[in-house]
Amino acid sequence: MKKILIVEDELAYVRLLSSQLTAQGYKVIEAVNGEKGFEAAKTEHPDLILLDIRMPVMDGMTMLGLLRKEESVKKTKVIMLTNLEPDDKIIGTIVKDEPSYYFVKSNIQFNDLLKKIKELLPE
Amino acid sequence: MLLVSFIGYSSVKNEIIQNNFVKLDTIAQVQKNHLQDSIQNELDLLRLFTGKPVLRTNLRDFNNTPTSQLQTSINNNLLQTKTSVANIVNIFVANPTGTIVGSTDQSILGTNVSTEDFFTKGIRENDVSILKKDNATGVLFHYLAGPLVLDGNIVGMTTIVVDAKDIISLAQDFTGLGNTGETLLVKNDGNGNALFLTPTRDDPSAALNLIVQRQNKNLPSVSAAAGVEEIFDNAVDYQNVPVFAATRYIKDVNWGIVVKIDQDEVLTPIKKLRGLFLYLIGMAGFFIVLIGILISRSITEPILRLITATIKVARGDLSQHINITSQDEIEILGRAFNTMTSKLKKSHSMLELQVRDRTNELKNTNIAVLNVLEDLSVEKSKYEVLANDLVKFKLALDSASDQIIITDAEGIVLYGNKSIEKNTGYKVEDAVGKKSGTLWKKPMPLEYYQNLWNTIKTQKKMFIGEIENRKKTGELYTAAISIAPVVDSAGNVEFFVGIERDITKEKEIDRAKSEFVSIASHQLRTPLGIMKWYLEALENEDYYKKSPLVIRDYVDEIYKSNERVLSLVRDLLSVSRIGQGRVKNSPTPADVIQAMQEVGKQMDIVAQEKNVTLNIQIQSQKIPLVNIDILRFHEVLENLIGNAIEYSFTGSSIDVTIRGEGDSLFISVKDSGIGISPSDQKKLFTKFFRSEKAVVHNPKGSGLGLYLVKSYVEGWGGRVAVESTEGKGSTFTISLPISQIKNL
Repeated sequence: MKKILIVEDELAYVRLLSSQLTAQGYKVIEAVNGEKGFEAAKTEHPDLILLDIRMPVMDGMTMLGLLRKEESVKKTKVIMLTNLEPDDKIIGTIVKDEPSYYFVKSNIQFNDLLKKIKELLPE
Repeated sequence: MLLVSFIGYSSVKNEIIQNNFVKLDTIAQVQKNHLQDSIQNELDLLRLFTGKPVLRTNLRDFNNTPTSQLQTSINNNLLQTKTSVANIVNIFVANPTGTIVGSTDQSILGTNVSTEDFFTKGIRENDVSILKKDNATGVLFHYLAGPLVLDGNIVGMTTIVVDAKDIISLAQDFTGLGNTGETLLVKNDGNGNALFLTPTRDDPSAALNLIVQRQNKNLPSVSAAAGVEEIFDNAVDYQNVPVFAATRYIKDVNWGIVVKIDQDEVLTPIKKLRGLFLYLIGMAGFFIVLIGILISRSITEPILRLITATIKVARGDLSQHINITSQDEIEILGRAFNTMTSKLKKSHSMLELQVRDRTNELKNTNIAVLNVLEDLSVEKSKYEVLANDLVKFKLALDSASDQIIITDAEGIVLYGNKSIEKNTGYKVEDAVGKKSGTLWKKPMPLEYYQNLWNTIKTQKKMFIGEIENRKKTGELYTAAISIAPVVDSAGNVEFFVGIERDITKEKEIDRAKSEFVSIASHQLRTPLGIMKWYLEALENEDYYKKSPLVIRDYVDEIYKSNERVLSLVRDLLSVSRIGQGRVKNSPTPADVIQAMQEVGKQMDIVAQEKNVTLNIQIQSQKIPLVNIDILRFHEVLENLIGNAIEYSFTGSSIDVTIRGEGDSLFISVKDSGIGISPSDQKKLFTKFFRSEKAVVHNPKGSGLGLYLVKSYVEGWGGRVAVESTEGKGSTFTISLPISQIKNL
């Protein structure tokens, strides 16, 4: 069973993602900010992290940076899930720090996200 | 003057005296002549008488025989002679014994006169002349006697007695002898004394009476009696009165004539004259002075006239003409003066003519100069006006809140207004003379400045943009700048004028606005995004599929509405991002072909849903990697293709081509949909524009899509254009310069 870490401060998103992904058969771990997410990542070693950017305490980019420095988790696949339009800085980071992907939540359908997740987490 | 007058006086005096002498002498001479003549006449008469032979014959005869006949004859002879001559008083003849034998005066007949001097002399001598005085009457008679000789024998003598008044009259003639002068007849009495024959002026009885002794040698009378003919200038007369005298001597009768005059009388006039002279001298002195004045005036007056005239001439009045007729040197001077002035006048006229000519030339030059000066002063006025305006402009510049810099063609600062200091903290003086921007330390990227310089210097175009500068404090600020080149008539750049406005605040505001929109949009996105997924999840649920239509409809509607809002928000965010003009980092080389393919794949799904065929043609094999913002590029493609799909009719097809040509990339999206009217085409790319047809066709559109396309494409240095016919379709074309695609 693949483990997915959801780092998201918006509970509505968390609930939906969690229920949907669980229904899809994934193990879901939740963290409400980057700090907690980083801890969770280190602890749980998820297969995939769904990472929001704008969060209190520590935002997603920072966590990503930490993540990529952390030996144990630096190869973890990350999908940035945000409502922020990407600018070059973000894209640059994302591209540099593969394997990372970027989705604007309000721009994509959930199905597409699901597809991507399945792609990234092959059985 | 005095000397002259004295000499004059002396000479006059001498003259008078001389004249006097001359007069005396002359009178003396005249008297002598007269007397002599008279006497001569008488003597001639005597001779004549005595020469008469008849008488002598008679007398002889008578002497021989005195007959009365003879006597009568003699008397007749005598009478004859007597009557023929005036003055004869008596004529008688006497025989040799002295008895008067014939006489015109019968009373003396027979008288013997032999003792008489006239007889004694006359019997022997001829021409005897004796003056006798009748004692009784005092009358003087002149006895003229002479012998009567016949044949060598004295027959008697004759005596003519003449009235001596002729002679006396001489003596009585005081003509020219003044009051004291007289003529005297004197005779030597035999002793050397002078016997006065005539009465003197004072003493009528002096005649034959007065005797002046000969001792008095210098008595003229004595001298005269002695036969001296002389002028006596300092003599005394018989009365011891100083006299001037002249003497004459008549030899025939031995008479002397003395013409004398009292010295006093002669000298009195001289005295008078002297007095007169003194008076005259005095007068003369006075007159001399006067005349001196007059003369001097008459001399000096012309001279003064000359001087005055000369001064006037010297002063320039060449019309002076002197008329001096003094007939002396001054007149000559005057004439010379006139000549001189007339010559002067001529040369002056000539000079004047020359001067006039020169003056005219000068005047003309002067006028020309004045004209030039006038023009100059007009120009000057113009310039003054301009200068005044410039002053105003300068004031305006100085007080403008915008920073204004004027540089030369190389960018060296010539002028800066006061706002520079106000805004940046740097002093104007620090900036002047340096290249513009040195102070501000150019925080912008190099190529920004390169582009700026290129625009204004090479292309000579105005540069408008935004720049970040650094204040003296180090603080950055944003400014809107416009730099305009000022070119001369030849097209060469002379100056640059740069105006800079600190827009940091505005930027802040804009940024704040954008921030706000960003944040708001983002905030909006969260609930919208949630709704989106929840609705999606819902639509995937079994129970949804089993739920009644109306619920599914409603859910569908909600989903669509949500999508619209999301779409709007997306566009707003894009717009606000464009408005913020965010400075980007280094661009990413992107494969436009790949992007196209990706978008194509993505849109294919959409196209299928609408039953529209999407054809994507990649017409160039090799298109280089382009430096663009790849996501935005995606957005552009999505917009255009999305529109094409949206506004196409069912069953139609869309052609998308992409090709590279030279240094440009061309992309075209062609549909055969509803098309766009010409008027709508004009507003097509503006914010929020939606044509009515489009609204009808797709009410969900935000109106921002094409605005975004245009903004991005133009931001990359490209162009977007549309060709469309209503009802037939539209073709959108994008051209992008491959070499210069910038990032937005």
